Amino acid sequence: MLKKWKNIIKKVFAKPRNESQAIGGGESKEPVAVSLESNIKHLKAVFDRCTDVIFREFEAAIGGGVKTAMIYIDGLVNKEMLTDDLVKALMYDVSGINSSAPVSDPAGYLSRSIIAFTEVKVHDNMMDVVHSLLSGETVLFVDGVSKAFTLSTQDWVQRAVTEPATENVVRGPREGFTENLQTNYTLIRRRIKSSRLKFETMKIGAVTKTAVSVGYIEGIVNNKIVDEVKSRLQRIDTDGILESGYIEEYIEDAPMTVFPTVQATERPDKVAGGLLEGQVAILVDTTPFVLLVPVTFPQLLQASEDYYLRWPFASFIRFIRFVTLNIALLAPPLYIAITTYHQEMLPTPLLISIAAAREGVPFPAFVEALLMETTFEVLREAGVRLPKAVGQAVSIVGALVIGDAAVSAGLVSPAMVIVVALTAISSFSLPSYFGAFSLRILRFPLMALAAALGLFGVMAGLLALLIHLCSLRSFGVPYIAPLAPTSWRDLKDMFFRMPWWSMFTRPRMTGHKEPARQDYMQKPRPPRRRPGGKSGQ
Amino acid sequence: MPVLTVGDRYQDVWIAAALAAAMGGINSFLLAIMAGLYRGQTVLGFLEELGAGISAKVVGVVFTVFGVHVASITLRDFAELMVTYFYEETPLIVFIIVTALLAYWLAYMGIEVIVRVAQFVFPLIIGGIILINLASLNFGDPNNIFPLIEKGAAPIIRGGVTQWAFFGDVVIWFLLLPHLNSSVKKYTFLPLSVLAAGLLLVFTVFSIIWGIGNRVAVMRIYPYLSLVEEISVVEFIERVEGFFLLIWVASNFLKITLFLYAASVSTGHLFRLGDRRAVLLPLTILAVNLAVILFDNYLQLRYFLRPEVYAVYMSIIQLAIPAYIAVLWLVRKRRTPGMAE
Repeated sequence: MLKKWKNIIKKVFAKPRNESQAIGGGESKEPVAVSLESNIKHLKAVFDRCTDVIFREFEAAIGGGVKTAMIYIDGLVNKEMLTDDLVKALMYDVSGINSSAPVSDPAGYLSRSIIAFTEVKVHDNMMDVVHSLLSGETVLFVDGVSKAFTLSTQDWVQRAVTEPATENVVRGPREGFTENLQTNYTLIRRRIKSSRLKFETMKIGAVTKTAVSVGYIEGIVNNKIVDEVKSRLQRIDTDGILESGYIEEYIEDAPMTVFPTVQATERPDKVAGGLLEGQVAILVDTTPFVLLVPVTFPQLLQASEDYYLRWPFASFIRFIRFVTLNIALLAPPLYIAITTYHQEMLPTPLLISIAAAREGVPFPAFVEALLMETTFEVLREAGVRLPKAVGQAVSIVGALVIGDAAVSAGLVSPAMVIVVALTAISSFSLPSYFGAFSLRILRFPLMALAAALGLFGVMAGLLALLIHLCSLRSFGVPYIAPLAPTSWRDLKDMFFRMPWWSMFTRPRMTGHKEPARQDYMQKPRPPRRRPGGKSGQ
Repeated sequence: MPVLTVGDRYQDVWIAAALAAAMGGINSFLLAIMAGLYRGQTVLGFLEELGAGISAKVVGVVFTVFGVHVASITLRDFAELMVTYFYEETPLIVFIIVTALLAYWLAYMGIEVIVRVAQFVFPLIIGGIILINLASLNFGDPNNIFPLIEKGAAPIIRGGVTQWAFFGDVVIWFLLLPHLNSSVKKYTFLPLSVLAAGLLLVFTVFSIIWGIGNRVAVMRIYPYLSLVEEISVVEFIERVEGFFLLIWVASNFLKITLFLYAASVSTGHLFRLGDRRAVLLPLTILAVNLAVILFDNYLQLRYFLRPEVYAVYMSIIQLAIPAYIAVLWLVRKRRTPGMAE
């Protein structure tokens, strides 16, 4: 019975995708014709109604004139380069070459001696030609040659490398990834000048054909993780990938959890650091967000700046971060639990002042908290979406609503405003915006539990959360890895950030293939007079 | 733990705790030697290898009943504290069901997740208890612990036996041995863990006597909680009962989970189930029912934990059955080739 329904549902909703959707009309493995006209005719049919595809026919000055045609997409190519190096060269400069003698391999001869371009590929079927054309290369047909030449002339309008919008640092590089895959390669390669840094590229998305690249450092990375990443990527079968978020949802281990098991970052230095610790990076064209796997929950609480600041500062910041993590998750639930059930836990003067403040408030603490938290989330969301011009208006109204007006109207108590404000600030002090998001979502069920069962409810909720966190894995690595299963060696980079010279080893879970990061005994010490050395001079 | 202060209360109870720890240590050392014989199997698998199929079934039933029973007692004990102290108006069953469901979920996730949760929670529990004890040393009266051995050895032994019964829980390891890393060949961690727990118990009981004194402790149902109430560090850290509640929930939760898990392992082995998780929910429901049915009120539960009842009951598990298995092994090891080492 169930099977029958399944089949019916399959038939209705899961129609096999139309082949033409995947490939596009006219794209086929048809060979390139000898005649120039028929090639142009074919491409014109394929790019029917595509105004941005430019066809330019001209006569090259070889052997008394050969009809040639170049085809490119306006906006994706560098036109100056085309004019100077291709059109001019072929029309005037090559006229001096005496090439009336017959050539046995005209295609090879042309690409070797005539076409003055750094990167020339020779294709013999139309599908490759169409694909190269779409990715910004210029196609050159020569009459009488049954090959197509594609020249790498890609050059399109792109954002410059700017400071990343999400993960800011005081000390550290200011570069962020851009939407261009090549630029992103460069940003990583400039940090890791090693031939062991590998990038493997594949195309995902039947229509968009987005380039997705898997980067890792050979020898450090666990090859099983690389294979797993690649096989999960290859399993993706969809029409388009517009952002790495698409990929993230297809490859994550636990699709139903609120916690991110894949880390998205805009910082090249973070990716480089991850690669050095044995993580795998997934770069997606057209987005500045690079994915890092496997990731653990403590890693979401670490900022790249932790490694640039001196270790006492970084350790202090880590400590603050654990405090804010707890505030962000627990402050409203604890407030609700204590004011509703466990008033005896508060010192008497504080209890009296809270009670006095709550005097006129018509709602129970839970409703009050829900009201304020929801208001805050609305304001936050509005702050992200609203046009820049009206931003100020909303923030003023927001500050009034959340702060003064709500209190003086008697809707909420001042203590609640403090709790919500503290929570809000705390949740944004976490380095990973996406990790903080999960905490913000979890706050609401915890608040409900606190309202229902007080501290016991909060504790039960936390235990449930802990069970869930402990059961998660990210590409085979337990999600709260250095804590449980406990790895003493890795705890040095968890609550504290130990000095660099003391972090001898890579994390056990990802870097166990080549555990030694550096030599021992690198602690700086005063120079010692070497026996018979020159240090005395 | 509150339940450990059951029975006779007098200022020497911490000596009794030390005695209990010593007894438990010896006991668990014997158990560890036995566990070495199993070569990484559960006790049931070992018995079957010995050719004692019927004994294996009986022991399996005993362990299942034991697991569910202890889980239910712990559930009830835990819920009673909640109802008595923190939530006077909430029905008992709420706490039992919430905790049992959480424990069921964790046991369902398997030993790996249980261990990770334990690794996370364990330092908090131990650290919390030690902090509370240290804080209580602050305000106690040294005279509370004197005179030593006022009433002779008899009450100390009686108290020791009472507390020894609770160390018998380590016998649960007999069912968990296959989950150990295969590099672990000697089970010295059994007596060591018992001794460590015993040390903590001695410290805790000592803090109670030191902090609030014998006479007050006798009158309280939860002496340890009374101690926590008294804590005041620089007039700022006060009223830390909520903190105590967290420790209490976490530790009991782990205990219940582990016993439910062991019961499911035992049942799964008994009926040769492919997936032991199938029996977990029925066992949890059974434990919840037992927790409600077995005792009418908290004093009955306390009465059950007297040495005459609970210690005897526990000695079936931690003395009689291991002794039986040892005898069986001695008798049969020559008959089964390869068993004799």
